[in-house]
Parts: sequence; C-alpha cells; structure tokens
Amino acid sequence: MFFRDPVSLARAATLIAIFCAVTVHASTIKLRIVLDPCDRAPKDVRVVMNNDENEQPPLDHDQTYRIWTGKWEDKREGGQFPDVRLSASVRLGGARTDCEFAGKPEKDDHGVFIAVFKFACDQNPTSDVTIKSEPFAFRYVRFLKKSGDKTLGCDCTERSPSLNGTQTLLDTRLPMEVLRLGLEYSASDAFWIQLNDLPVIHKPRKGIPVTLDHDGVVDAIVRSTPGEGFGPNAHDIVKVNPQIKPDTRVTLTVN
Amino acid sequence: MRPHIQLFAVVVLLVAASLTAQQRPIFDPDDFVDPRQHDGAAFISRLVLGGASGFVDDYRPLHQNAAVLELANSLYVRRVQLDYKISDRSGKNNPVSVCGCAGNPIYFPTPPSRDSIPAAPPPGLKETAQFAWYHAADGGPAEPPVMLRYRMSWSWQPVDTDATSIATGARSRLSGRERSFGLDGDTYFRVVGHDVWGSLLYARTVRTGTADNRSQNELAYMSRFPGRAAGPFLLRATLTVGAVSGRGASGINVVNPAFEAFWRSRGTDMNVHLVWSPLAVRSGTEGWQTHHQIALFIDRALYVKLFRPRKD
Repeated sequence: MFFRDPVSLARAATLIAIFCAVTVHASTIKLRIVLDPCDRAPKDVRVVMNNDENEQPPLDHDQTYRIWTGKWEDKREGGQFPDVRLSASVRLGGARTDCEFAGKPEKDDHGVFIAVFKFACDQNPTSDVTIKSEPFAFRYVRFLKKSGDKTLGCDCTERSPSLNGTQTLLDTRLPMEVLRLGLEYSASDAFWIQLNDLPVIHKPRKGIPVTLDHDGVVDAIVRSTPGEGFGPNAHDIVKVNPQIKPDTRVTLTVN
Repeated sequence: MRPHIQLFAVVVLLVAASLTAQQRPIFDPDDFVDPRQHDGAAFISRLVLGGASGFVDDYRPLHQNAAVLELANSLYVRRVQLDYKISDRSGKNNPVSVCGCAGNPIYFPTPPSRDSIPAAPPPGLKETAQFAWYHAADGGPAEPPVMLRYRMSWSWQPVDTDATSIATGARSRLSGRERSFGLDGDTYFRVVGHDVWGSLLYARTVRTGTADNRSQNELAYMSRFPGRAAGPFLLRATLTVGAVSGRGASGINVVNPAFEAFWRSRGTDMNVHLVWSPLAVRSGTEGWQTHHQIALFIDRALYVKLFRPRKD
C-alpha cells in the first residue's frame, strides 16, 4: 500500500502540507474603490495593491465613474485580508492618490470579503516618467509620504518587479514622490540611483529624453549613496567597476 | 564577537585614546566608499595638490598660508578600509631664539600661554594611518540600508626647531614630534521625517620635545548637510561644534562651518575643490576669535585597482 512505505507517507504528508499552505496563502477578495468627487471623473483608473507595482487588477466602473470594483488574489505570506491590513493607491491619469488602508471589511452575499478603499480628491498634478535601461534589467521604488492626518492613510513604498527595456511610471507626483531606480547587476543586487536628484526629474523638459551614458550613470550612482555622497574615491572606484558595463545607458523622459 | 572580546576592544580603544590624536585636514578629500559599490577589494592612490590661506591645523591657526601636497593610499576590503596618507605642508618656519635664563630655557617669540589657543605645528611632513570599518544601519522608507563608517586615525609629525642662543649666537636643534589619535563615528537619525547625517569626533593631540609643548583633547559633532548640484558644481556644507581642551575655556569653544564647491572634470578625472571654512574659537585670554580658512586644491586618482571578488 501507498502509506505502508514510510517515505511515501512522508511525501503524502508534505503534499498535504503544501496543499494546505497554498490554500491558506491565496484568497480572492473583492475590491470597491470609492473616489471623492473632483472637478472631473477619471475615465481610466489603475489600482496598485499592497505596494506592489505588479499587482494592478482590472477594475470596472459604475455610471458615475466614482465607484470602481474588481477582484484581487491576496497571496501575501504573512496572512490575508481582513486578518492583515491591506493598502492600495490609485493612478487617476493626471493625478494619483496617497496610499490608504482598506476600511472595515464587508462581505458579499456569498461571504466573500470586500476591501473598501475611499480616496479623497487629489488635484496635485503628476507626470509620466519613461525609463529605458540598456543593458541592465532594472527595478524601481516609488515612495510617497502619507499626507495629512487621515486615519487610514499610510506611506507608499511601491516596488516593481525586475523589468527590461522600457517602462513608463504613470502618474508620478514629482517632486514630492521619490523615485529610485535599481540597475540590476545580478538577480539580487542592484546599483541604486535616486532619480529625483537628476535635473531631468526636478527640472523636467517635458517630452525631451535625457540619456545618461556610462559616466552619467556612475555620477548618479555615487551621488545617490545615502550619507557621505559623492566622494572622489567612490567615484573612481565605481567608474572602473566592470559590473557597470561601458555601454550602460539610461534614458529618462518626463511627460 | 564574544562579550569579553568586545570589552577588550573598547578598553584598548580607550587606553589608546588616553595615550595619544585630530580634525580632518581641509584638503583631505572625502574617501568614503560604500562597500556595496565594489564586490572585491579595491585599492586607490590619490594625489592632492593645493594651497590654503589662513591654514588651520586641528582648530589651531597657523597664521600663514600653506601649500599642500598629499599622497593618500586607501585599501577597501569588504567592510574594512585601511589608509596611509603622507602630506607635506610648506610654509614659513619662523626662527626661534632661546635664552638660558636661570637654568630654564625661555623661547622667543614666547609661545602662547596655557589659556590661549596653541600655535599650530610648523609646516612639514605629516603621516597618517587609518583603520575604518563600515556598518549598515536601517535607512529611511524606500531607502536601502545606510552605511556608517567608524574610523581610528593615528598621525605623527616631526617638529624640528632650530633655536639660536641670544647670549652666544650658537644654534641648537630641538627634535620634537606631534602625535595624535582620533576616533570618529558616523551618525544617522531621522528628525520629523528628515535625514540627519553627521559624525562624532574625538581626538587627542600631544606635542613633545619642542619649544611649545602642548596637548589637547577634542570632542566635536559634525553635521553634514545634503549635497546639492548647481550646474556642473556640487555643493555641500558641514557644521562642526565642539569642545577642545588646553586653551583655558571650558564648554563649547569651537564652531566651524565649512562650505565646499566641488567640480569634477570628466576629461581628466580631476576634482577641483574650493572650500571656505570660517572657524570661531574661544580661549580664556582672547575670548571668541574668528579665522577664515580658504583652500583651493585639486585631486586625482593616480592608480585604481579593483581586485576580483573571492568566490565563497
């Protein structure tokens, strides 16, 4: 018999444990996003769940474009909604919201949890930043500090997965929003550039791409080091670092 | 590290500190290198050439201009940094006369009194050895861990004094030295959402075998403000506030802001620095005084070598 063999028994137990773990670590919830009335109702919104830029589930809108609904699979390892708080922010096309936690959980007729997010109107203008990186794969972090004293407000630290080629960061609230770009020289390590420190970001000329060549990237990496900043030794050592290939190029366009 | 080894290390540091000394010289370029910026070991040799008006050495004005040539060698291995620096400061060496009055030599010009700011050692060769290690601490939100450096510095400088006897005109030479030991540790904290960077500095300097033997202990905090880019120039500022012993004024007696404009020439890899460092110091006899130190210098790496990382 299958279970008479102790090795098979152990395998079966492992499979059951994995099945249980998978069951526990993924649950589908519903989303309801309520936008306070602004001058204009956005026709297309994107929601970023749990500070993960890769988690942008599709949304449907009501007739007023004020209420947007969708579904999201909560795969967080530390627990799921509503046991663990869930945050989100919304890109509104020309504006963005802060990050907020979902309010008191609701349930639909089938007992599925609904995470309800209510976002106040936000009129701060935003820009789209397009990043092109060669030959590095890259990732980015968008940081936006909680504004005001909203009970459910929280800091945003939204991270992207590893990306290649060209990527557009929609609705960045510059210069308040901090953008950090990581040039990946291995699967786990990256050289980080604080994009806000670059003139193209803090004094943008809309639509005009700016390319950082090898030396420009080296400059930006050294200047982005927290603390001491731009020591000459750091500059010379980073410059000869073979991990930053001579054909490194980073092109940034602000629109 | 075991607790008794940590305790031993602390005791050794304290004993060393009590025996021996330093403020970073104005022309010493920032040699901080984040260990994450190099996988293997790195060696760099740097030449510094320039001059300073109103040169100040360890909060002691030299009362003259000085030209400076420095060779700085730094080895970075993982989170450890070793430096050996040798600098030659050239300037006027003021003549000294001596009177063997009542069996005790009296030197002219008379050295500053114990309650005054000591004179800086005369220009000459100075060697410095440094040992530093880097420690990662939590950064702000969305920031990678910040790297803080802790460093020990030893400096020594021969101080030879040619003295002419007032009575006989005979010349004699005093072969003295100045030694110093310093500790500095970077600090980082956040105040109302803002990063505050700085360093806590301690140093002891002892000058012996000279016509003006002095010693001083320094304890200071240097705040480093965020750098800013202005066109091709990078600007940064620091503010040092501290207490230095051996000048007849207890408490805070040093306030030293410094403003640096720094330009890197891409074609030549040379860095040009212009630093203005007004120094306000207080002594028992003179009260507060302000000295303006302005330095213009260039530095360039002579040799840079990255060693391949060891495969663990």
